Order: sequence, then C-alpha cells, then structure tokens
Amino acid sequence: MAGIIDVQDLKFTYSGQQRPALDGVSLSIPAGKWVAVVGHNGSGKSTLAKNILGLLEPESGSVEVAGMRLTADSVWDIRAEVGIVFQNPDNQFVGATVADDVAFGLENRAVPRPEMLQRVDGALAAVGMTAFKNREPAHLSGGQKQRVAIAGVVAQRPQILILDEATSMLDPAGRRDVMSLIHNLKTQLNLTVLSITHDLEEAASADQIIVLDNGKIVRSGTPETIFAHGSQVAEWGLDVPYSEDLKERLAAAGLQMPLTYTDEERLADYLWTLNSTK
Amino acid sequence: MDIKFDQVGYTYQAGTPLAAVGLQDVSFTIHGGDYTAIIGQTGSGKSTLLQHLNALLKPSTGTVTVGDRVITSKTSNKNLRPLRQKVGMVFQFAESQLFESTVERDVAFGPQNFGVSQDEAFALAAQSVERVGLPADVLQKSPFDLSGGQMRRVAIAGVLAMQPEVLVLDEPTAGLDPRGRREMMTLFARLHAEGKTVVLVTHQMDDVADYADKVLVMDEGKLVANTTPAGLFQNPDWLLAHHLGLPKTTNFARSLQNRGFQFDRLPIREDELVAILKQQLGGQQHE
Repeated sequence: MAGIIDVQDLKFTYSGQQRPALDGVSLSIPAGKWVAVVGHNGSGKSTLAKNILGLLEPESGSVEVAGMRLTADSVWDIRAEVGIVFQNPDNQFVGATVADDVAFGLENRAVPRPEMLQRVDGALAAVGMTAFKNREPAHLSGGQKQRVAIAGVVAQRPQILILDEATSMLDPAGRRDVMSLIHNLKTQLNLTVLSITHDLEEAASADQIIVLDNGKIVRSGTPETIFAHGSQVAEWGLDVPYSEDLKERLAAAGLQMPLTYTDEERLADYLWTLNSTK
Repeated sequence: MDIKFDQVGYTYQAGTPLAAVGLQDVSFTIHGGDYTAIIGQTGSGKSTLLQHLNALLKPSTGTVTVGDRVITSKTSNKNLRPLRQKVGMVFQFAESQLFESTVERDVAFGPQNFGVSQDEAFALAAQSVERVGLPADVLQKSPFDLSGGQMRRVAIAGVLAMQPEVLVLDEPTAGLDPRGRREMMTLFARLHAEGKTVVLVTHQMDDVADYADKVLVMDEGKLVANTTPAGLFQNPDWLLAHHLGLPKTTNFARSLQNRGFQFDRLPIREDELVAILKQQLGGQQHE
C-alpha cells in the first residue's frame, strides 16, 4: 500500500527528554488527498512534519516520500517534493521584495534565471499577488504574507504541501481567503496536503483527520466519524463543532437528540421536526 | 476610572502628502469596571484607537480623558508615566516583547520602571505569575524556554505586575490552541470580576457575546455603533454590511428562524438558546 507519504513505526525523542515525542507512528497518505493532523500542543504534530521533511532524524522507523526512502542522501530530493508553510507569516521572509522572496528557494536550487523569472510570475499569479510583485513583504497584511509564502512553495513545484498552523495567526477573513486559495491550488496542481491545525473548519475540510496524543495516533477517520465523538474532540486540541456542543447541552436539558454526528443544517432540520411534532 | 473620547480625530503623517485618516470624530465613554469589546475589520481604526488609551498616540483633534488626565494634541510627552501605569496594554503576540534572562526579571521590569523597588517588584512578579496560572518554578527559567502559550502568559503577567486599573487587550488569544484560548478568556473574565476595566479588541464574535457588556464598532476610522452585544447582534444585515460576523448561537438561531421558529429576540449565547429551546420543545413526551 504505497501512499505519497508512508511512515512506518516512527519513533523520535528530543535530546534531554525521557518521553518520546513520537512513539511508533505509522500512516499512509494517498496522493491527492488532504489529511489534517490534530492534537494538543506538545502532542507531536510538528515533530511529525519535521521528521517527514528530514529536519529531524528519526530514532527508529522509516519515512518514505514520493517513492523515496528518507536518508541523508535522499533528503534534498525529498525536500524538492515537499513545500511547507509555517504559522508566523513574519518569520519566513528573506527577500526585499515579494518577487525576490518567492525566488529565494529557486535560487538555492540554482534554477536558471529565465526559468526562475517565469516560475516566480506563475506562482504569484497562482496566488493572486501579481500586483504586489515589487512591494516590500513587511507592508502586506497577514493573509497577503501567507499568500506570498505559499507562492514561494508553489514556485518550487512540489507534489506535497505541508501547512503547519498556517492560518492560525490570521483574522477570520484572512483565514477563509488562504484556505480557499489552498483548496484551489490543490485541485489545479494536483497537490497532496498535510495540514497541522487546531482550526475546526480547516480540519472539517480534510478528507481524513489523524489525531495525535502523546506521540501516538489515537484516532483516525473522516471528519464525520471524528466529530461524532462530540465534546471529546476538545481533548484532541480541536474546538467542539457548535452543533455537537449544542446537541449535548440540549440532551442534558432533557431533549431527545440524535446520536450520530449532526451538522448545523441537519440539527436545525431535526429541531424543526421536533417542534412540528410536539 | 472612566475613559472618555470627545470628538477625537487622528491623522497619520499629518501635513505630508502621505497623510491618512486614522480616526474621525470618535466620541464615547467607557466607565470604570466595564468590559468593552472593540470590533471592526482589519484597518478600521481599532489599533489606532487603542493607542490613544495610554497616549502612545495623541489625538490630532478633540480630547481623550483617562481618569483625571486630559490628553490633547498639545499634551507633552513628559509625565505620562502615571497614565501608562494605570492603563496596561497587552499587544498582539505580546510574547514577542519578552527580552529578559529570567521570567522573574522580565515580569518585574515594568514595576521597576515605575519606581518600585526590586524586592517589591519581584514579589509582584511572583504574584502575577501565579495569577496567570503559571507554576512558581517558571520564575527562574528563561522566558525563551517556555511554550508559545506560556510566553504569552508571562507577557500578560508583566502587564498585571504594574497593577493597572484598565487592561487593554489586542487580540490576546490569536494563535493559541482552543484550550489556551479558553483559559486566557477565563483569566480575563476573572480579572474583570475582581474589578478591572477591560477593553478587548477581537475578531471573535463569540467572545463579544460571551464576555463583553458593551461593544464599540469601528469602520473606516469612525465609530459606527456604541451598544450592547445583545443589541448589536439583533441586526445581522447591518453587521454583514460592515464585514462583521455573528456569534455561532445567533447564526444558528437564524437558521432555526428560517425554518419557522419564533424568537422574541435573537439569542447570542449558547445557554440562552438552550433555555429557549427547552421551553419551546420541552413539554414533549418521548415514547
């Protein structure tokens, strides 16, 4: 069963720590899917991403990305296939202008200049930031900065995009804007997305949710099956979906409620039926 | 201690070709002990307004009165310390302002700056660190060895150590995980219950509904509403026109309304909605 990312029995312990940050994690992500990894701060989410990128070296177990087994020799080839966008838009800028910044990764890879210029323009167009090409990154809004960071990744043409809480510092409008951009890019460029998140809407839009706790996978499934656990998802570092929280409170108030996951539309329908048949 | 804005205007880079209006004719009063939310989309003037609360910015026109201190465009930068001690500012991503070698020294820095002795400042630091829910053993740690959420708490402890009467919070929960957000909002609610005046800038309408008793809405540098959360959220179309959302409960109540439910007033908090639904649906017998 070969996914575009295959992790087998991965173990990792930070130096000076007793408890492993990752303790026997195995997962397989099929190409073209969107997988959300959730869990409390300290559950091992970011450690997992860093192991997949070869930024940290596993203690035991194996990582395979895009058909390559992660080793000291393959790490640069693997990183060419994986782009990552971090949480803080201000911590990832190096260029004096937006275009310079997008070009930075390509320069590092010695992409010939004519091709580089073309790729930078293409990437800025893809994220809708062409008009800002010659601006200073510092003067952009949070959402615009994340767009530029995404353009930097897109320019490298990776197969996989990792989002490490990429929308958590944005206001609601910026968050929606960046999420819809990533959904579009995923389809256009046929990307596989691995998003590390606490955001309920971001997790809900994934094909699959993986829950990490204390370095272990404790649950995995579609958003529907995960959210059916109701208020328990709060223990996994997610907000409880509003409909589930309300359902539990109404049940506690003595009303009969459905047992399966119910989104807001269905809950409103259910309550209306209850109202009409009383 | 009341805060009063009287026809306050502020122009950025006044007298230059780059002059831009930050605030225009803003008047309101915040009473001592209020919990006031300030909302508005990015760029609406919220942060400009906040910076007037402790004279980081001075009005270009009009007056700002904080307690017995009156600030106008003519106010000199001298003698602003007492004001800045009374109005504690927690900026966005406040943890980025930590700089000392230990948490104790970082938190004690503010009070020492206001003339408190080192011993006393360290005592205030210990007290404030406890108040924000951190264990005492962090005092001797470097703030940079802590997690992001803990660092944010240290920064807030640093403001509390100055014993301000007013706490100004600029999106204090941005970037925290759900548990961290909840704990932080509970902390502010407790400080408010203990008598502090709280001014909260937020994009989270649920926090406005759950915690604030007054709400100011900014749009393009103007104050466009000065009301209560319950009043504000009765008017969903007006909010949308100002690029603002609704609390989850109000939003859900609207979809119930669309199906035929009757509400005298749209509920804004979940417990209100539960009480209404229990009353409307509760008489029913289940088989």
